[in-house]
Amino acid sequence: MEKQTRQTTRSRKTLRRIAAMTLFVAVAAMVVPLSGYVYVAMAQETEQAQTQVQPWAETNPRSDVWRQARQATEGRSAIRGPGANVVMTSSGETFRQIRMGPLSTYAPWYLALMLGAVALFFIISGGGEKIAADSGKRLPRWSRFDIALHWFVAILFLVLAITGLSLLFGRAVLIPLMGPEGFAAWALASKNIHNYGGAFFVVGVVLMIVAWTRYNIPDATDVKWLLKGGAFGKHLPAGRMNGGEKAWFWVNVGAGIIVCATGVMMINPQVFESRELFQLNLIVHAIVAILWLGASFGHMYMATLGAPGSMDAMTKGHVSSEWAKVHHDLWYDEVKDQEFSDDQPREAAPGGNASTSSA
Amino acid sequence: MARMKFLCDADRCIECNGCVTACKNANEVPWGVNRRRVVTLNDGEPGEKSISVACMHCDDAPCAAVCPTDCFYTTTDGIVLHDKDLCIGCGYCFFACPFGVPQFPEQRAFGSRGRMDKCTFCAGGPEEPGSQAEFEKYGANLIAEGMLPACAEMCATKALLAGDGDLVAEIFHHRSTSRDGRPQTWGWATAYGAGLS
Ligand code: SF4
Ligand code: SF4
Repeated sequence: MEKQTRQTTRSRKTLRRIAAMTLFVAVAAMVVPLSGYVYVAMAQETEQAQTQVQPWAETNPRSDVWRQARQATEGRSAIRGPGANVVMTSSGETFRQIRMGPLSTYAPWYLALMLGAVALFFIISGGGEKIAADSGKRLPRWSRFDIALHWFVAILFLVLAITGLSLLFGRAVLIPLMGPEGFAAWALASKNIHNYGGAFFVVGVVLMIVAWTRYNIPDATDVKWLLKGGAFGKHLPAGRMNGGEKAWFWVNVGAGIIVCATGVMMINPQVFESRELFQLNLIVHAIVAILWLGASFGHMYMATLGAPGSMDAMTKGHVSSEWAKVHHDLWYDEVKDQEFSDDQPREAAPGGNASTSSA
Repeated sequence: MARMKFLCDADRCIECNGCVTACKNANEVPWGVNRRRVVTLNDGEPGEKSISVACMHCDDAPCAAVCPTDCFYTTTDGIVLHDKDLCIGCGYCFFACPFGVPQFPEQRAFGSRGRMDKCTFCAGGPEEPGSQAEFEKYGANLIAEGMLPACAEMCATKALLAGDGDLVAEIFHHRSTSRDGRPQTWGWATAYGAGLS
């Protein structure tokens, strides 16, 4: 009996032990997986603390290298040359899209619009008033140096405009007319004329800025002249240069500096550290030059049809007193003592140093 | 017709510049002009990879789009060639090309560069195929002889592949799916997470 009891006690102990173990396993089975959260939390903390990348957060080096290649990452190449250590860049495509897109689309429209506006203005206004020069009295306006400088810059301006536009639009306009070989010859000539002529043009623009800035300092008279519509044929008080002429001068200074600076850099391409800068430079050069050309149509109109008699100033160097009274009354009052008669020989006229004496 | 393609397997290229040399030799390219180059990214660091670059013979080629004299043309094999007789050496193609491919033999005053030279996929140019004039201006015309570009033929590790685009793609597809390690497909990690290798 006693033996039996002892046996029962032992089997009960065994049962209890088994039950305890089972419970432990069950609890462990439920708790241990939760430790994953602790692990993740700890891992995140370590990552934040040491900014250490976990094995699975690391990116794929095989993809990375192509991503780098695509993003114009600079590497190393045994071949030397601009951009030789870069696999690819997108900027060339941007350059292509601007040059062949908006630039090629809007530039002709802009030029046509400016020409059209001038033509329309001529049709509506019938051109400027023709002023009779009955008295035969003349006033010196520009020295020979000024005249030479003006035509030097003006002729180069037109030559550079024609050659520059040929390079931009020749493919669309001239190839159908001249054929590929004919146009290639013209394009090569255009390129060379543009590059070498540009250098002389820069000199002209700089001289112009130096020589003529003093006549073109704006003042209150010019603001009034511009605001009250002097440009549209009204005769308003004006000094040696009216508001419109001064505005044109400053357009020349601004556009001249931009176009010349970008141009000089392009004929010295070694100044560019990257292709991106050259691309930008070429676009800026083209846009500003075309805007400038459009504005010059206004100047050409005013000098010929818009204010008859003006052309004398830049051909003969002197103007009729009547013209001066109408267009530049304040200047006339200043310089009327320099008046000379038409039949006097040109040498006798004090026109040789007109620009200095009439400032 | 086949659509010709180059492909450089960055996992195989060892930057031996054999392709560059083969090209210079086959085409007798002048000094200073390199139609092909090898670019090494992360040089000397873990993950260093080299890629051999030449003209990719673009479908919609930026060089051709900006050329003032319209001197580029695409052959029926999809090879982009140009006519040196029409080229004025303005350099616009170099500035437009994403791969910096067009090269110029000169660097003189007033931006004078000489006529542009670029990879022809060893297909010569607009002259009588195999003629002396063609060789002098554009280099070898191996395509006309039924061969493939010298660079890819030379490549010792077969990293650089050239030929019919479909065939090249098939070879590369086979390589990239059977290669061990992580998938090399560009964008895989972004799309599926890098852990899913
Ligand atoms: S030169 Fe450049 S842009 Fe032209 S086809 Fe070759 S890779 Fe494309
Ligand atoms: S350098 Fe020659 S091929 Fe290149 S854009 Fe100018 S004209 Fe065309």
